[in-house]
Amino acid sequence: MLNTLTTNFISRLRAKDEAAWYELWETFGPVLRAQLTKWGRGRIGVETVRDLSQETLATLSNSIDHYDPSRGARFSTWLLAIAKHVLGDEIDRRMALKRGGGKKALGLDESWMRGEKGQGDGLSPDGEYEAAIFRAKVEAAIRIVEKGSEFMDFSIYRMRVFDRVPGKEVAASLGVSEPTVSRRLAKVREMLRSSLQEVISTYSFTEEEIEEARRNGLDLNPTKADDTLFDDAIADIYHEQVELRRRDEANFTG
Amino acid sequence: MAPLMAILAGALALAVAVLAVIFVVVPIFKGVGFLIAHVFKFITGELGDLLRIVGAVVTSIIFIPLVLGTIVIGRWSASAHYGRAVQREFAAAGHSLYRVIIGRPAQFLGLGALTEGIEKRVPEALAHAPGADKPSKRTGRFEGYEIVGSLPGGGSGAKLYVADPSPEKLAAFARMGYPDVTQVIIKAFSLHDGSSLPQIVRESRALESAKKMGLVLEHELNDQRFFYIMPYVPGESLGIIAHDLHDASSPDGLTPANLRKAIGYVVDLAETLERYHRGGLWHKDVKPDNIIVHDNRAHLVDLGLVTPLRSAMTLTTHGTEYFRDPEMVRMALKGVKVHEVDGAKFDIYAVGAVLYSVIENSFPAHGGLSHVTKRCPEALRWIIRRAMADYRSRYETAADLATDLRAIVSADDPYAFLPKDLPSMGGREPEPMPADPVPGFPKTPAEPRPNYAEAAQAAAASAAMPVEPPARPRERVDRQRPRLRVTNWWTGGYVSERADQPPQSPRRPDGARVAHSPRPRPAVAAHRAAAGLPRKSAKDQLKSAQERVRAAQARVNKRLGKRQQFSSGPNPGVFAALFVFLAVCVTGAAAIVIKAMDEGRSVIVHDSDKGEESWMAYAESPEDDDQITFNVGGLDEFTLDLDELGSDAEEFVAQMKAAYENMRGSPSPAEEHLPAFVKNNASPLADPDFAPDDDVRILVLVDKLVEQADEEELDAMRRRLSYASNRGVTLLGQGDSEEELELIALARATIGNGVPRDPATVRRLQDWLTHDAGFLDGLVWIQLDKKGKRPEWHLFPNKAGQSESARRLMKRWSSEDR
Repeated sequence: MLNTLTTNFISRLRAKDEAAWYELWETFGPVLRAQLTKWGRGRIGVETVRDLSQETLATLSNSIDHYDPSRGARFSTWLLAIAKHVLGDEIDRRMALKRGGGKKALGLDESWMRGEKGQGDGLSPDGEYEAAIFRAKVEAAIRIVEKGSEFMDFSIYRMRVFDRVPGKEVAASLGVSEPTVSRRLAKVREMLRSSLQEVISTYSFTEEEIEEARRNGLDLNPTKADDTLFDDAIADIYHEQVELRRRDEANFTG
Repeated sequence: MAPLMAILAGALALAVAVLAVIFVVVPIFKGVGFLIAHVFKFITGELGDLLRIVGAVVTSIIFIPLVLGTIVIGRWSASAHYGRAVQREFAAAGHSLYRVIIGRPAQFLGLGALTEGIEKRVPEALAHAPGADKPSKRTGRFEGYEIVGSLPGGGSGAKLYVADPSPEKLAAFARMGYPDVTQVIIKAFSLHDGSSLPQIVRESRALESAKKMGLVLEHELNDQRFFYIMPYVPGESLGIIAHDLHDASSPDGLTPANLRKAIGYVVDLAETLERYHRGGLWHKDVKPDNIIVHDNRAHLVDLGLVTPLRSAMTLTTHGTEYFRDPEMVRMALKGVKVHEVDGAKFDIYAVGAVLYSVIENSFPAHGGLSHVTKRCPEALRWIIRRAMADYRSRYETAADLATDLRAIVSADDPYAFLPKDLPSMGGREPEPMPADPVPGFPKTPAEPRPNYAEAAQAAAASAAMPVEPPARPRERVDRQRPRLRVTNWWTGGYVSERADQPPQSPRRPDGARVAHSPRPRPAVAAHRAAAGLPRKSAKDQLKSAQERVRAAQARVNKRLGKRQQFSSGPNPGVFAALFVFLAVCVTGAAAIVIKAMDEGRSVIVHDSDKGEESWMAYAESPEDDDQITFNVGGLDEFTLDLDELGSDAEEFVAQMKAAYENMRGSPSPAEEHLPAFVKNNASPLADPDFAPDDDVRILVLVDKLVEQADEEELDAMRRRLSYASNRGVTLLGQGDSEEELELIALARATIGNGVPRDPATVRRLQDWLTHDAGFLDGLVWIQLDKKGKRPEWHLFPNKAGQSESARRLMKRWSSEDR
């Protein structure tokens, strides 16, 4: 079932809205590069990975009109298929150059779009990749909250959850009371839940994807007891994203 | 009773054992564990530092050819650049050596240290190498400037030259209020040299504002090229400085002293940006590479993207990844105009990113969410977050950021400084730092930041109006421009007047009123004119200007001490590279000589009379390949013929080596140990090893096909024959006398169609030698072997009447042939 946000985002992409494409690049670029690096297994360099990730988005922009979410495929799966196609094309081109022959470029395999294909035929998307895509969505939600919340509120959440500083120390450090810390923490947490729902709706197109948050400990309709679990899950994802970005940067800058 | 006692004793023993485990065994294990961890940490650290030393040496070896190569092709700036790189490698190796020797806690174990120089510093140095030292003919010359070197161009497409201004230019700068300028950077774009019009337009966008602020001293724009002049700031980039600071600190983070230093640089940066923003400009490309540290002050350079804050143009995505606010990119993609946003906040984001990179020695890859992992005061983390926070939540001004940073620097213990103590959070304001003007920025009294609308109007006006002189740093009452009163609007005539002077009406010699353009006259000239004094001649004015410049330079030098200037000449790194190169050459030559000694090409003899080792070498004479010359240090020199030596050469050298070995351990003079033929300056053929005591005659039969053998084999054959003939053996069959020809014919007839190994042939030859050729001691039949490569010797001694000498000779030939 599609919601308005989803439709809007796809529409924006189809309308070649540069801001939407930049958003997509910002959110999924590192994941895409990590996946291409993994597939490349050292055969392709950092610069080529960068080029291929851009090529992937360029190919996506050409084929976004063919994308049909109602057929059941995740958007991330579609992206992965395109990335694989672009990489395969690059490898074929290299091999063709080596052999001196002109092998025809691969056609885009649209069977990836059918959700059922990935179930039993060995073509199922990489589990790690899907987890990384989910983490990227969570990161996008955190960014939205960072922008939308008060600086002091988000800083408290950041210190308390991401840096794992005890509430008492946070209060002492910022010159506020502990109840204030708790109150602001809860405020940001609520915003985060809300934005997570928004982001997941934006980038997820199937019921199964929407359920993904709950499976990862990020229940969007929680009880009070779930707050700690939620914070822990968010912190873990944040640190994994930090590590992903660090590796991406280290690859690029050497 | 006894069982009870036994149970009690057992319980007591158990309790004692448990206590012993808790209070003795556990601490002992803990202590041992700590010891092992400590030792392991030390060993891994030592290994890491050793690998780093090796890596630095390997990297230096890569740089040295680059230094030499650039010297050879005359690129002095590039050679100086690579020299500095070598210097840095040596410094890095020195640091590591210090850590290894002093036992500083080691850091990491891994091959990263070994390859760090190759993977990181080499590409970096190559990428940043300056281009040609002089502008191309197509770019043209720069009047009034002498080019002394060049700098890497960066991404703007411009060429950067370092130049010494002429005295006239220096005088002009001094008049403009910049007497400290001694060297300048010329940023030049030439349409003939690959620059494009959009690049020129972008660079010239904020030129007038930059000139007003003293960032640009002069510029020229024509239909072929565009260049502008900026004060030169020597030093290293903040990126390199930060790297060095981290090298000198522990892996956990900067030491308190280095932390203060690093924050100090960022304070300089924030203050500089505050001046930009007050001047209505936005730098737009703040990053460590564009921050030069000189005299412990950070200076912001590169005006390539500087933009007026109130520009009506659309935002662009220019800038450097990781230091460019992603929000700016989003706004640019939405088509937001520059004047619709506060561009200063994007610079503030960049300051936060620079601060992060300095503290973390890395890039803020996660934007505003980047995580600070190194040891760092909580208040500094807070400042980084706030500087890189959302556009609305960010610091309002760079000055606010600088104030917060100064508060941390001035704290007794920066690590104990909390966010709540920051001035922006209501904490106490820090003491103002002593005013120290940044070169290129005339120090002006604090003034409120202008309204952006006004700044935009000023910028727009400046683009359309003639250049106005920039604000003077010092008020000079006596140089006030006189007020002009227009007397004739039709002709443009005017008179100048001052409150304390009667109105003057300058006239031309012909009595006509002077019609002036609105261009302001120099203040001194105006003053002289106002005072009614005659105007100085151009020569006198130039002389006076030069004197003023010299005086200004002397004042500057006195104030700053010996100021570092750009130098494309050799630096310690270049000298080190040359030294290493020479050392390698000398070592290589020594290795070649030693190798030659090992191969028996030379022999060292010890001349005990002189108390020193001297050479006795032999070498082929350049005039005659067969001649060899012996030169004994302090002894006689003589020459021998290789052909004469024949197969004795190796034996001769062996004798000389043996003589040398004897000499080494003997106090007696060297001559005593030399072979007799050396002492007597005689031929080695005097060796009595083989001296025929009677007349030996041997017939030599050489088959025609032997000539097809390898040349080396033929030479060996000839040497063996000449060995015998030199010792008085008569070899028959070599000449063309009738007797010899007959003898050969008889021998051939005896052989017939036989082959040497055929018993019948052997028997026939033996019979012939015994009965018909008794005067011969033997016969040598030389044939080409089956492979067709070497002559095969077949010896037939005359069993009837062979002499002892002939027997020995044939035995020797037989053994040599095997």
